[in-house]
Amino acid sequence: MSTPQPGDQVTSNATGTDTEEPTDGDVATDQPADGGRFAGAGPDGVGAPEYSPTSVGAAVSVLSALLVTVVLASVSLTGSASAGLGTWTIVVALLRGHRKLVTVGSSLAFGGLLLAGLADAPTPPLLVGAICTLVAYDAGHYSVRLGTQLGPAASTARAEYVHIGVTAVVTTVTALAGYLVFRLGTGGQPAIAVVALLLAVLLLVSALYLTGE
Amino acid sequence: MSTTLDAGDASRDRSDGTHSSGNDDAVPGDTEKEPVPSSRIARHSTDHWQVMTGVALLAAGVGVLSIRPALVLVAVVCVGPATIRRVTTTPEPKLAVRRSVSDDDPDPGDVVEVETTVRNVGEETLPDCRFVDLAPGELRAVDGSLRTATALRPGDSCTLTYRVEATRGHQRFEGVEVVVGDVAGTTEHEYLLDAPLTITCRPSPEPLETLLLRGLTTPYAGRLSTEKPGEGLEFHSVREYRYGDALRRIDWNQYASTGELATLQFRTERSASVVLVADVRGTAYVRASQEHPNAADRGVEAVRRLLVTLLDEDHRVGITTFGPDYWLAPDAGSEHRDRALDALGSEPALSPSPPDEDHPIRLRTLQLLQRTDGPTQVVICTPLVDDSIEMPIRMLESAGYEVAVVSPDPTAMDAPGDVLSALERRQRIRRIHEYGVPVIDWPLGERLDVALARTVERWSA
Repeated sequence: MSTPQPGDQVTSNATGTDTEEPTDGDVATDQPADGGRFAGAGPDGVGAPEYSPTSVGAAVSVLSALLVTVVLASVSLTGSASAGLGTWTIVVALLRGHRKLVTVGSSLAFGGLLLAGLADAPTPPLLVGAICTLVAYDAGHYSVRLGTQLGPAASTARAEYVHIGVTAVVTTVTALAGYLVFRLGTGGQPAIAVVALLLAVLLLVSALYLTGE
Repeated sequence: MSTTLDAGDASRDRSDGTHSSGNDDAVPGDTEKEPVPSSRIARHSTDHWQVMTGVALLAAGVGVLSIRPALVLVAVVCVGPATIRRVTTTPEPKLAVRRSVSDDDPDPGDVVEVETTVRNVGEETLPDCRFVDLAPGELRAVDGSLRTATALRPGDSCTLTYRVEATRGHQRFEGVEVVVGDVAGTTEHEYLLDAPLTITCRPSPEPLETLLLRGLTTPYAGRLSTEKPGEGLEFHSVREYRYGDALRRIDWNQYASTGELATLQFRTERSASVVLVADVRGTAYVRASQEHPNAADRGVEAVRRLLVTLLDEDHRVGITTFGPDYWLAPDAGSEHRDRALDALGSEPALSPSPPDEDHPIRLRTLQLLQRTDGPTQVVICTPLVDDSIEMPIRMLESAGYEVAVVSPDPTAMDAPGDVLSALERRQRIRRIHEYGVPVIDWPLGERLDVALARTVERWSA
C-alpha cells in the first residue's frame, strides 16, 4: 500500500466535483458537520460534538436584543417590555441551541418596535432598534448553527466577525439611506415621504422577487 | 519522515484555528499551490433571511395604515438583508491541504501533534468556511479542536492544531470536511477534501514476571522444568547408582552417612511450543463503558506480553486468531519476534476495530489442529462472553493439546443485565476449570502480572 508521507501535498486539478445536483428546498439540518464520526475524540466530544453557543455570535445577539430593550424603554414601555421578553427568549434559545426560539425572540423584539412605532416613537430610536433586532436575529441564528456544527472547542471568531459585520454594515447603510431620503428628499413633508418610501419598498421587494427565482 | 512547519514561522500560533495572511508560510518550491481533489457531498439551505420580505411588508403595512412614517422606515431597513440574500452566491472553493504530524511512528499512548493547514488557492474569497478534520475514530484528542470556522481571502490559510493520543495499528487520517457558506448565510455546501495520512503505532510490550505454561514440551532443550528426571537445575529425586552415572551427580552426603552410592536426579529442562490465540470475533469487542478499552484489544495486549515473555524464555511461539484468519507458525529468534510484534501492531485481522463479518470458530480450531505438528500448548486470550468459546477448548484438550485461557473481564456490575452477563461468565469459567484448563480472569484496572501470579499460584497449589 502506498502511504503518502506526512506533509506530502496531494495534488490534482479536479476540484469541486459535484456528486449531487443542488435541489432547492433542501431542509436545513442542524446535523454536526462530521455526522458524528468522531467516536472518542476527547474534549471535542464523543461522537457528535456537544452543542455550545459560539461566544462572539451569542454575545452580539444578546447585547443587540438588550440594546433594543434599552432604546425602546425611553419611548414606549410596552414595546420595551416585549423586546425584553424577546431578549430573554434569545438567551434561552442560545443556551439550548434552538434556532426557532431565536426567531421567536427576535419576533418579540420586532413586535416591540411596532408597538413603539404605533405609540408615536421618534424615528432615530426606531431605526436603531430595527438594526439591532436584525443583527440579534442574524447573530443568534449563526451562533446556534456554528455551535451545533463545530462544538465548544472550535475557534470560530473570525467567521463570526465577518458574517455579523456584513449584516451590521448592510442594515446600517440601508437605514441611513432611508433616513436621509426621509429627511432631505421630502422637504419635511411626512406624507410625501411616506408615499415615496412605500413606493421604494414595493419596487424593491417586487424587483427582488422577480429576479430572485 | 515527519514534516513540521518551521518553528520560527511568524504566521503560526499555538492555538488552533490560527489564521495567516498571504503566502508567508509557503515554502519555496512547495506544492501547496494546487487544489486537492474534493467532492461535494451535501447542500443545505439555511436561509434565515427568507422571512425578511414578509417582515418588511408587515412593518410597511402597519406604518401606512396608522400613518407612521417611522414604521415605513423600519420596513426599509429590512430590505437590506433581503437584498444581500438575493445577490450573494456560494463560492466554489479551491483549497489546498497540508497535514503534518509530529511523529508518524509513535508508541501507544504517545501524544502526537497534528497540524492541518488549509489554504484558499482559488480566486474567490470564502467569507464563511468551516473545517472539520477527519481524524481516525480510534484516536483520542487530548487538546485542541478538530473543527474551526473562519473566512479566507485568496491566498489565506488557516491551521488546525490539535494533539491526539496514539493507539496501536495503522491510523489513517482521511481528509478534511469543508462547509462553505455565502456571506448572508443562505446556503451551505459541504465538500470532502482528500488529505490522507497514516501513522503507524507499534507497541513495545513489557515481558511478564510470571510464566503461563503447562507441562507439555518439545524434545528440544529449553528452560521449562519438566517432570522427567535427568540433567537440569531443580532437584527431582534420588535413585540407586547405576554404572556410568556422572561423578558430579553422585549424592556424596548419602555415601558418607550410609556408605551406599546414590545418584541425584534433576528435572530436565525443555522448551515448549506455544500458540497464542487472540479472540477477535465481533463478540469479543465488548467493553464495560465507553472510556474503557474493549476486551478484544486487551486480549491482543495479553498476547503481545505473553509473546515477548515466552520468547525471552526461549520457547517457540506462534500466533493465530479466532476471527479473521491469521497464522504465524511457532518459532523462535529475533526475526520471528520482530515479525510477530509487527503483526500484533498493525495486522488488519488484529485491528482495534471489530471485523465486519462472522467467522466460524470451529473452522479456526480445525485449522489450528492441522497447522501445528503434534500437540502444543495453546493460550487463548478471550473475554469468554459467549458459550461457543468452550468448543475449541474441548476439541484441543481432547486432541492432547494443553490449553490455558487468559480472559480480560469486560463485565461490569452496574445494571441488572450486566450482573447477569457477569454471572454467566463466572459459570463459564467454572465449567472450563472442570476440563482441567486454567483460566486467568483479568479484571479491568488490574495488572496482568498480578492476575497471572494469583491464578498460577492457586493452580499449582
